Amino acid sequence: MNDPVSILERRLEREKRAREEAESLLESKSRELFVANQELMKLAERLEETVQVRTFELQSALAHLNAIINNIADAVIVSSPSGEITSINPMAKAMYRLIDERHDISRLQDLDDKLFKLTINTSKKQGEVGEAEVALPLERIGKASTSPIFEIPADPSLPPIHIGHVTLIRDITREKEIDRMKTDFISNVSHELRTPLTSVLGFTKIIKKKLDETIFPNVNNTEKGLSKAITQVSSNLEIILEEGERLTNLINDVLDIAKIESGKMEWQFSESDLSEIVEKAVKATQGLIQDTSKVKMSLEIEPNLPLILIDQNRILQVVINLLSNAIKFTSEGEINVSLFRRKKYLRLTVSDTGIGISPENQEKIFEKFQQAGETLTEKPTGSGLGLSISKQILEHHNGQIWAESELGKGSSFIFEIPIARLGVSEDHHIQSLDLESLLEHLGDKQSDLQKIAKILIVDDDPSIVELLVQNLESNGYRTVTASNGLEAIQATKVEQIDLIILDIMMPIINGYDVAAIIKNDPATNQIPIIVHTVLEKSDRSYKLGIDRYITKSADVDLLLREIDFLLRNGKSLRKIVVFDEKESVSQFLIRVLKERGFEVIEVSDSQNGIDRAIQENPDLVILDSFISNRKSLVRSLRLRKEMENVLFILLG
Amino acid sequence: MKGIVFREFIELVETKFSPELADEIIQASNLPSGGSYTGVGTYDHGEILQLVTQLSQKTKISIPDLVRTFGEYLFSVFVKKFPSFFVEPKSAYEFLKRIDDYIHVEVRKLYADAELPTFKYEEISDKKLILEYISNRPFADLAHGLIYATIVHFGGGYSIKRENLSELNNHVKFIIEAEAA
Repeated sequence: MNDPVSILERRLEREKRAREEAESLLESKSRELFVANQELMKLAERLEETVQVRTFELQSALAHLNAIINNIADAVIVSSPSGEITSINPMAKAMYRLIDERHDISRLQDLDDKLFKLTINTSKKQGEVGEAEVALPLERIGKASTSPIFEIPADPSLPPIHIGHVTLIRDITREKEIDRMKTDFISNVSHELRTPLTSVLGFTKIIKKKLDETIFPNVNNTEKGLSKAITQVSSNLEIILEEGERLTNLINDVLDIAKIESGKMEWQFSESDLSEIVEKAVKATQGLIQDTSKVKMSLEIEPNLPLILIDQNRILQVVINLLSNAIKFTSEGEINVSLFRRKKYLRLTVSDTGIGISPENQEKIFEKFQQAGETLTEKPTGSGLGLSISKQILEHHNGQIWAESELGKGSSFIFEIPIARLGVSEDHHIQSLDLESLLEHLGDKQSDLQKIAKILIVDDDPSIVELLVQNLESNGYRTVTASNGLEAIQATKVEQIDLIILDIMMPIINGYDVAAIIKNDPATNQIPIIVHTVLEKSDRSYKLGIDRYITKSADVDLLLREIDFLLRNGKSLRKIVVFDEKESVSQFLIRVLKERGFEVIEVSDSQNGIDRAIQENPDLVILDSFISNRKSLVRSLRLRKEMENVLFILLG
Repeated sequence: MKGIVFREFIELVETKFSPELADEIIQASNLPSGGSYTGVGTYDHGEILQLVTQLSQKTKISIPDLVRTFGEYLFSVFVKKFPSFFVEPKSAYEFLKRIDDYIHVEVRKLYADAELPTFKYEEISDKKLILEYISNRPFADLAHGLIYATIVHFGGGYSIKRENLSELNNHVKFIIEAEAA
């Protein structure tokens, strides 16, 4: 069996089997390969199908999104992180009156710089929204809200990527219009309220005066009943006056809040020292403390606080409101005022040891017409609008206000205003005029009026006319009345009128037009005119040559002072404040102005001077070229509400 | 174990000894495959152990020596069969370091079901390399022969020290050091 042939035979047999095995292995591998290939093809087909389905789904989702964006009622503008506009929707095209999208995008970019700035300035933090009003073509107004767009990466561990901004613009022209109508309505209503109120208060004052000066002294007050009646009548009149004043304040507050809410409030932001404002408020309210032996007020201010951009008058209003509230509700203890820097804010705290506010009332008090306490049992004092106005004012400063309090232990009112600049304040345009044309404009005609003055009262409201007549006549003036502009003009022609008190809102012809006619007639243009109205002072009054502007109120004394002054000087003249440093230089100018009959007040360039200039309520402010910081002085003056219609002249 | 190893083993016995001896050890072993092997087939590794044992008995040469010699022979087969593996590496170190990452990867493309050992390496210096053989089967001697042949192939000059980490002959550390010139 082990012979070479058998060995070879066995070897051959093994090789044969190996070959067969290799062949069958090959065949089964081929089959496997075929099946695998088959499956691969099926897989590829299925993949293709899935891709198609997904593509279709994506396309329809995209079409759906596009349809939404294309049909949205607001303009949609998408921009890159650098602020370049990359796409806009049809509404944006319609709103901006664009026709060809390709070069329209760049046009839109040029067209709306404000939009661009809004986009750029919008924070790159998720969820933050920048808002601005933008001008649209055809004098329409849009409200733009811009928010950053963030893409969430597929890998959840990576932070979202800022890929640009999306801006929505809504045409709010109509809302603005309605808003304007609302504000007009409120101001009309308040006018209607103010006028009768002026009469009520005015006559009450006259009655009180007459009773006090003429009637009561002549009454035999030895009679017990009569003496008691006199006391009662006096105190009743006192109440009428107090309540009348309160009503006036309430109307003013309502007007304030209406203005803020409608955006009609004219904000005058300037870089200001908040500590000065706080000091001023403390000074102004200290007198309200009834019993200084029981209530002490202290003030603590961190030194070297930075200037912040605020509307000084409005913030002063807030601080005064907080202080007078503290005083009102604190009968004993302390009122602490502190002003500190706290991170990026300046924080003012007014703490008192007064009656305190219950937790449920702490939020309510910032709402309109809300006061803490039972209104049925406690007599409310104030309008209930003060804190609401304060809150709105602070919100307009990007600040906040809140209260911390414990019933019976006292309250703290805290507000914070950011130190960061709010934006560039609007640079007020400063008019420059040459002196010659100014003098010509102001007029310098002499006249001779050394007799008993006759005053023409022009008002369509008979109660106001009667009130003025009684007040003026009791002060020794003669009066003539006119219930409308035509009658007034007629009166100046037939009578020798020494001064005119003129209402503005009148039927047929308004006060401004009456003043224009009188001031343009050489026969009457020297007659001083005092405008007496419920309206705010406007530019027009100066241009027309009106001498004094007085807002209707029960302050008869002010009116009488002005009448006396104008008549004593015997002619129509105006008040001029001259700022000068080197006195000799402007002396000539001052002399000329005085010779020509102007009332000239000289002030120096100092805080005192500024305060004085504002107090005097001048018609004109002249600044000498030698005033070193003239520009900033003008700015700080112009930003004052009282000075908004005053003409400024810079001497070259 | 892949059929190529069996074929080459029988080839070795036939050429180094005789076709008669090859036939004799096949007959003496109890082989499920009957001793017929195709290179692309896969067979129980026990068969090669039986064949080696029979050969050892017939030739009075120790099993480790036989297996190591087989490893050296197998290397020359690989050089002929897979010349592409030997193009790039310029030294024995370079080649040995690539066993797991390259050579075995390539082998798997041809024989998807091949059960290959792992060769972890640790380069102590440019003159000292530690190669760790880890396998499910006791063929450290085969690895030893292959490593030795590799060194010879690339010009020699290295010594191989062996450290057994397991009695089963399936986990061994080879310390390959350059010999002092």
